Amino acid sequence: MSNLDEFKKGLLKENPTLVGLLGMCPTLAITTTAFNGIGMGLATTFVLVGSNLVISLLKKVIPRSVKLPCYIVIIAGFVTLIEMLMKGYIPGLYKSLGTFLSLITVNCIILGRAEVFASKNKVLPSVLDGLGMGLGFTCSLTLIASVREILGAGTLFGLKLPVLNTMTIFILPAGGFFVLGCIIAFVNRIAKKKPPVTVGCAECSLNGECAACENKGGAEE
Amino acid sequence: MPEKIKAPLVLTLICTIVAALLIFVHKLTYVDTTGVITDELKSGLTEIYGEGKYTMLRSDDGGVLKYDGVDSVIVNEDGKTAFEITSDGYSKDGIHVLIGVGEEGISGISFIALGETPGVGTRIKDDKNFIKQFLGMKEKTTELDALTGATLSSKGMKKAVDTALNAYKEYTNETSKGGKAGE
Repeated sequence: MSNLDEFKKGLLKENPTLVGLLGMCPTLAITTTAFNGIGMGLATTFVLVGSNLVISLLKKVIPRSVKLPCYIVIIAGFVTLIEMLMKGYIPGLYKSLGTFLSLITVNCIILGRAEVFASKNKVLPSVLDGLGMGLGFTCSLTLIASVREILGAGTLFGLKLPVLNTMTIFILPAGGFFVLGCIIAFVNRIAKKKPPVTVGCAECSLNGECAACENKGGAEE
Repeated sequence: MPEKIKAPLVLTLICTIVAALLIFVHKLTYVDTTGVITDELKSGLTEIYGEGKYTMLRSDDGGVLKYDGVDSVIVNEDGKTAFEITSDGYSKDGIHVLIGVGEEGISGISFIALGETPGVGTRIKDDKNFIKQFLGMKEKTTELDALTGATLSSKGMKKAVDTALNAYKEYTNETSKGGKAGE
C-alpha cells in the first residue's frame, strides 16, 4: 500500500470511530459542543502521531515481554504533554474536556494503532497512519458534535443559529447514541460496507453443541 | 543480553526518559496563578462592581485568604467584597463563580467558568430569572425555584450562594473584631 493510501484509509474506509467503533467513550461523552469535539480530536491526533512515531522508531529496541507497558508509558507521556500545553495555553478547552483529556491514554484507537500498525511498520507510514486515523477521529467527533450542538443547543461553535426549537435530548446521552447511530449508518452506506454474512450452523465453531442446533440434531445449513 | 535483564532495563530507561522530558515541559508551561487576579476574574469583578482597583486578600501566613469553600476573597477600594467560589453542579467543580456580597445581601453573581451540560445546566447562567432570585438574599433559605432538568446545577448554584453568605458573615465578624483581614 502506498503512503498516501495509509493516510487516506483512516479518513473514511477504516475510520476508527464510525467503521472501527473504537474510542466510544470520548465520542459520546464530549461531543456536546463542536469546539470540544474538534479540541478532543486534535489532541488525540497529536498523541496518535507522536506515539506512532516513537513506537515505530523503537520497535526493534522494545522486548516483546514488556511491549505493552512500554507503549502505555510512551502514550501517557504524550498525553501528559498535551495536557500541560493545553492547561497553559487553552485553559477554557482544558476545563471543558476535563477527565477525558487524561483518558486519551487508554483510548483504544491509540493503543490499537501502536499494536497493529506502528510496531510492524516503518516510520513514515506509521506517522501517516496516525495522522489519517487521528483526522478521521477528529472529523467524526466534530460531525457528531455539530449535529448535537445545532439540534440540542441551537448554536454552532458557540454562535447562535436560527433554529426553530432546540431539542435538549440531543445534548443528553440518549441523543448522543441516536446521532452516532445515524452517522454510522450513513457512513456505512457511503462506504458500501456490507453487513456481516449470517453464519449458519455448518461453519459455527461450536459445531452443533449449542441449544439452537441440538433440537435439530446437529448442523442444518 | 538475556531477556530477563533486558526487558526491565528497557522499560526503566523509557520511563526515565519520558519522566525527564515531562519535567522539562512542566517547567516551561506551568504558570502559578494562586493569589493573582486573572483576566477572567477581572472581567467578572467589573461585571459586578464596575471598573476599579481590586485586591485579593491574604491571610497572616502570606497565603491566599480562604474560608470554608471559598477560593479567594477580593475587595475593591470601596471595601466591597466578592467571593470566588467553585461548587459542584452536575459535573464536579462545574460551577466557578464570583459572588459579590454586601450589607444589602447578594449584590451580584458572575460566572468565571461553567462546566455544566451545554443547553441544560448552563441555563443557570442564561436564565436571568433564575439568577435574579438570589440577588438581595441575606440569609440562607430553603426555598429555591430550581430549573426543570437542571436540578443538580440549580442546587450547586444555591450551595455557592450559601457559601458566599457564610463567608461574608465570617469576614465581617473578623474585620469588626480586629480588622486584620482588610489589609
